[in-house]
Amino acid sequence: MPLAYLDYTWDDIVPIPQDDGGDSPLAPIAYQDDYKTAMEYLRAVMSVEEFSDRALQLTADLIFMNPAHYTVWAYRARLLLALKKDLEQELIWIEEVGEQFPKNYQIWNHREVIVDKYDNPIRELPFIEVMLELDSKNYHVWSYRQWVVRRFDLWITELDYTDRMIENDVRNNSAWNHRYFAMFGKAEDVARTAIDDEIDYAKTAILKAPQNASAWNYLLGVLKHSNRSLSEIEDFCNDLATLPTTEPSTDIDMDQITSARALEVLADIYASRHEVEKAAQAWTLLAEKYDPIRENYWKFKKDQTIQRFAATA
Amino acid sequence: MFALDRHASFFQHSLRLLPYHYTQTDTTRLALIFFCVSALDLLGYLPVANQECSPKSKVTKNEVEHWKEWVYSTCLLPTCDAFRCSPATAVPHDASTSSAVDNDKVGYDVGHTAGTYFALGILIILRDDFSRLDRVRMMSWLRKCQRPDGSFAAGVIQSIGNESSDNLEVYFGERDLRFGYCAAATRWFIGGDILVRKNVVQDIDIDSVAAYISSCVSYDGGMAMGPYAEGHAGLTYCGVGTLRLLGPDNTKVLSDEVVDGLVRWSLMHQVYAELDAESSSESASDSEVTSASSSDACAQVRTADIPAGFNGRINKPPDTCYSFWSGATLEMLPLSSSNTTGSLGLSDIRSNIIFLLTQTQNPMIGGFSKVADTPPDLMHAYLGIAALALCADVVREHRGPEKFVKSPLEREIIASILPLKSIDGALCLSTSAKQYAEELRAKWENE
Repeated sequence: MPLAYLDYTWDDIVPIPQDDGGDSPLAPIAYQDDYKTAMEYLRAVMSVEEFSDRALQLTADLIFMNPAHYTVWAYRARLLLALKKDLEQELIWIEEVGEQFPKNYQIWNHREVIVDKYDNPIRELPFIEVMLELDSKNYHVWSYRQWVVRRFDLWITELDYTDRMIENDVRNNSAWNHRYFAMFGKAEDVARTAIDDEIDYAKTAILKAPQNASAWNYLLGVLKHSNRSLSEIEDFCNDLATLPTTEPSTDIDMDQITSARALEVLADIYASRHEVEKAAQAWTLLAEKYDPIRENYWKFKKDQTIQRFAATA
Repeated sequence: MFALDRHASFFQHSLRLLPYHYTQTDTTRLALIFFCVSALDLLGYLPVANQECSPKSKVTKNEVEHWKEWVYSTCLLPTCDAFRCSPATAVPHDASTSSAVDNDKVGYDVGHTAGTYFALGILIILRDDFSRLDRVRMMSWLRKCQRPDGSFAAGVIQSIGNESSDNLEVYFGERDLRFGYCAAATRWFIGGDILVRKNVVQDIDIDSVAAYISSCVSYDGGMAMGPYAEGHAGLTYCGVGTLRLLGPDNTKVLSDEVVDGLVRWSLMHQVYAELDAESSSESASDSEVTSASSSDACAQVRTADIPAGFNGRINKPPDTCYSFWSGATLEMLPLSSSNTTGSLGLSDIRSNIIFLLTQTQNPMIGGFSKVADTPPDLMHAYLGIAALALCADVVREHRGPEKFVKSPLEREIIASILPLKSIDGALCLSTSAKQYAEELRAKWENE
């Protein structure tokens, strides 16, 4: 398909070829001719910052060939404003680019600039939703959503939205993170009952998938943010990780651990109460049985704690 | 086995020509070149002063000189205070100065913080002395790239023409921790801190950098692109690396509690290669997930003897590059004063090495891919090698593979990475290159 910028007249422009540093350039890229030519025109118009429709079309064509071209986006934003273009049209165009290049960084920065000028969020949440359907953990999209929520004060729908996303995938850490943002990002006091609800919400999710770090992090994050004690969830952890009453055993029937994280939290609770032996027992179980990939870490925690209490005893 | 020679030829070929699908990285070409040059350095394939060079290397000393010359001639700005990230974004110098000063228009052929970091890294590895740089102006340029909130932009586009008081200046680039890292590394490379101590230049605003980084710590203990964003291992590396490079006192900006949290968070990102399949099946049938099936998951982990790499975010599959991002973060976070590999030894070094060598290494054409069964690319190839170099440092610190092997065959596998040179996690290049940079800094200190 011929590129649309070629529909304009370019006779007056002297294309500027790339100076690739002589005969033996380093890591030269085998460009396709379309890209190489378009870049030559881009250099020519960018060098004098030409504000024209043909330049705008050229940026569009180039972005489809190389969406990570960092200054072409800045140029495009200035072109749109200088030429007083219809910003809604631009938003529609960005949506096409976004769906074609979902991993691209630059588009979100650009959209932020345009939406900020447009001063209307009407297209934002629906577009974000489409993008999150393509990839429910897209980092840039979730970050952009936070910007939109803050900029247009759209907090009210967010908790329900994360509920829906977590319902779809209880392990979607981006959705859990957004829930934390929805709860606390507004920097207003949150009622104690609302915190209680969140604690229950996280506990319910943990019971569905006891090893799910996203829900555990959320639970512990909410407790910490509200200055509430870990011991508040001690019983909950005990239900998921019952320590054997005798020496740690390699017999699986002797201990009932359905969540390594519950065991870790219990160890922290015991250590905070100076119950070093019980804490050490939990760390040993983690090291030897339930989380051997971090064996060195659990042993380190155990030794560190034992030494600390030995020193203070 | 570590396919050292295959990797060396992969990077040597890449320096000669890259296929067209690299077009999407055209404007960050210096990054690609850095990956090749630094990988060849770690592999012992560069003929530079006082370094052993493999007899199989095809790189000549003349080529090394040519590479330096090329970086300067294609990417250093005429003002000698910053580098572009690629020859692709250059505009011939007369084109930008022939027009009269026009305060309504901006020029786009400007310095880039990442381009500058990569250029300086390449030049240090090649033992350049930076005599062609204007280090004082470079510090002023860095100051200009810093936003009021402490974060750094990729760069600043400004009015065509020079030195007008009402110049129009526009930051470009995303707001996260990456460009701050590049700025901190640049400042260290050029001895910016030394120039500040000698009252030659003003410093960047270090307190606000530190405040921005602290604001990026997420509730789960990692660092994110901004306040309330999701913790991410690559950004965590950038945040910790920035503080480390700004000076030893600056890591103390983070409380012990935050540092402990970062160590834990980074270690938790080591995951079994097959765990992802298990977790997606669990989430697909939430209602069916009972404590019984999860205890199966525990039991499976207990007996599993499978490779384990690192992921970048919670509940994502392991990916080559995070073996470096998390590995280097751990290397930078101190465990005790007596070791040089920090907290990295707390991770499962053996499973990480085996993950990289059996899952994402391409032993045929060289290089590493992001995940298993995909073609290798330069970024993952470099970071795979850099991650293994970090592991090799830990293995050497423990006097060889014995402590890490579970079977005699593994001894050979783990020993195969030991020819890799020692690496500095914070700068992401060899310890020997860092030592050379330290010599330059000592010279500037005594000037």
